[in-house]
Amino acid sequence: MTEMTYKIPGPHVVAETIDGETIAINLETGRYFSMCDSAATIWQLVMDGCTISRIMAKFEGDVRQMGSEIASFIQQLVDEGLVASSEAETSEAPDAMRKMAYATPRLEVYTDLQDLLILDPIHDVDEQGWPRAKTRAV
Amino acid sequence: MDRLAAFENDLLEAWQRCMAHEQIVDLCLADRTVRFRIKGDACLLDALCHAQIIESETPIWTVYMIDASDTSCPMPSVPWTLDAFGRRTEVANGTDERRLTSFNIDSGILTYVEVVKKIAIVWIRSRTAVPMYERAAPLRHFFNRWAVSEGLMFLHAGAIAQDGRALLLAGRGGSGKSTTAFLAMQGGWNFLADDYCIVDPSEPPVVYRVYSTCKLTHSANDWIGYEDARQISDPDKIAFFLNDTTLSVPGRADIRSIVLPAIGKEALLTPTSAVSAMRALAPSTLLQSAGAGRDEFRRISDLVRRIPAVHLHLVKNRRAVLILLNQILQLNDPIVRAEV
Repeated sequence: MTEMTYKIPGPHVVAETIDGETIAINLETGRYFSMCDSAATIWQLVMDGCTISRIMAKFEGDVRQMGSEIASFIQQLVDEGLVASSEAETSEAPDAMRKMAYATPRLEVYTDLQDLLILDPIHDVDEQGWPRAKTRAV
Repeated sequence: MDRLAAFENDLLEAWQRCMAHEQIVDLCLADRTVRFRIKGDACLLDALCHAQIIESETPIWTVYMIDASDTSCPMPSVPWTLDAFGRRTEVANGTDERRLTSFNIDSGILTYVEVVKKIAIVWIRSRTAVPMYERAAPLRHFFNRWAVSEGLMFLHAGAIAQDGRALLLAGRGGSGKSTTAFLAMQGGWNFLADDYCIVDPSEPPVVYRVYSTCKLTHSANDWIGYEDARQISDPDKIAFFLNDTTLSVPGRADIRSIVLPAIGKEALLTPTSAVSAMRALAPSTLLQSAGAGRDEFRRISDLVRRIPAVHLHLVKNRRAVLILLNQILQLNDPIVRAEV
C-alpha cells in the first residue's frame, strides 16, 4: 500500500513562514493558524511532498510516539481544510537534511476573525436575479 | 467571448444606456489618478473627498459608478448560480488573475474590476441601503485589486505620522487602532488612517491616506470625546468625517514602525517579532479583501521583515500614550539611533 502525500487544496489556503513560525490562513473558514518548531518543519515537509514515514525520518525521537503524533497532526491539517490528500509522487529530496530534535507538533488555531466573513452568502433572490440579504429584526 | 467578458460588456452597455446625468470626479490616491464617472448619487465618494483634484488629462484608471435607485437603471442580470457567491463577497466564476467580481449582499454593492483595461464598474443597489461601515470606508475591494496591480498594498491598518515619519497601527477590530489614532490626532500628530491605508512597499515603505473618516465605538468616544462637524453612526460605532483642517496635513509618510496596540494594565512598550506583526496584519487584511490571496500575503510577509514592530499597551491616560508614541518614533529613527 502506497503512503499518502498531501497538498494545499486550493488558492483559499495561504501560508508564509517567518523566523521559523508558519502562519496559515483558510480564507474560506476565516480560521488562521500558527505552527512553530516541529510543526513548522512538518508543514514544510508536507508541502515538499513527503509521506509520514519520510517526515519521521527527519526527526530524532521515539518512533512510535512520532508516528502517531505526526499522523494526528496531519489529520488536524486535513480537518481544518489546510491540506488534502494528493496523487503526487513522493518527494525524495530532503533525505540529505540533518536530523532534528522532535517535539510534539501543535497547531495553534485562531478563530477571532471569523466574523469578518459573511455567514451565509446563499440568500433569497430578488426580481433581478441578484441575491438579497434577509431583513434583520431590529 | 467568455461569459465574464460578456458580463463586463453588459455592465458597461447598461451604464452607457443609463440616461442619468454624468458627474466626473478625479481623485489622486497614492500619487495616482483615478477617474470616477458617476451616474446618480455619489455618496460612496464622501469619505474620499480629501483626494479630489482638478480634472486630470491623464487618469490611469476609470471607475464607472451608478446608483440603481437614483437612476432607475437596474443591475444587469447575474450570469452565476447562487453557490458562486463566496464568503468574502467574491464571485468564484467572476474572478481570475485579470478580473474581480464581488457582490456584497449586505450593502447591495457590485464591484467589477479589470486590471488590464484599468477599469472598474461599481453598481449600488440603493444609496439608502449602504451601511455606515461602507460609507466610512467605501470601495475596499476595488482598492485592493487596484493597489496590487499598481505594485501597492491595501492594508487593514491605521497610520499616524509626525514630520513625515509614520507608525502603522495593526491589529484586529477592537485592539485599539482607532483609539490610538484619535489620541494621536488630538495630541498633534497627523492622521492618515484608523482602519485602512495604502502602502507602497518600495524602500523606504510609504503609507498613504485613503479615507477622510475615523470610526470609534460609542463607549470609546465617551472617553475620547471627539467632536467633528459631520458624523454618521450605527448601533456599534460612530464614523467622523474629518474636517479640512485635519486633512490639510500631508497624506503620506515613511513607515518607521509597526505598532500593535492592545488594552493593557499599564502604559508600556515591548518589542515584538515580525511574525507577531504578520499575525496582526495579514489575516484581517486578507479576510476582508475579496479575491486576495498568496501574492498579498507574500507582500505583507516581505513588509513585516523590514520594519521593526512593537506592542503598545494602552491605558486610559492620554499623556502616557502620547509619550509612548513619541518614544517609538525616536527608537526607530535612524538619526536618533546614530547619535545614541
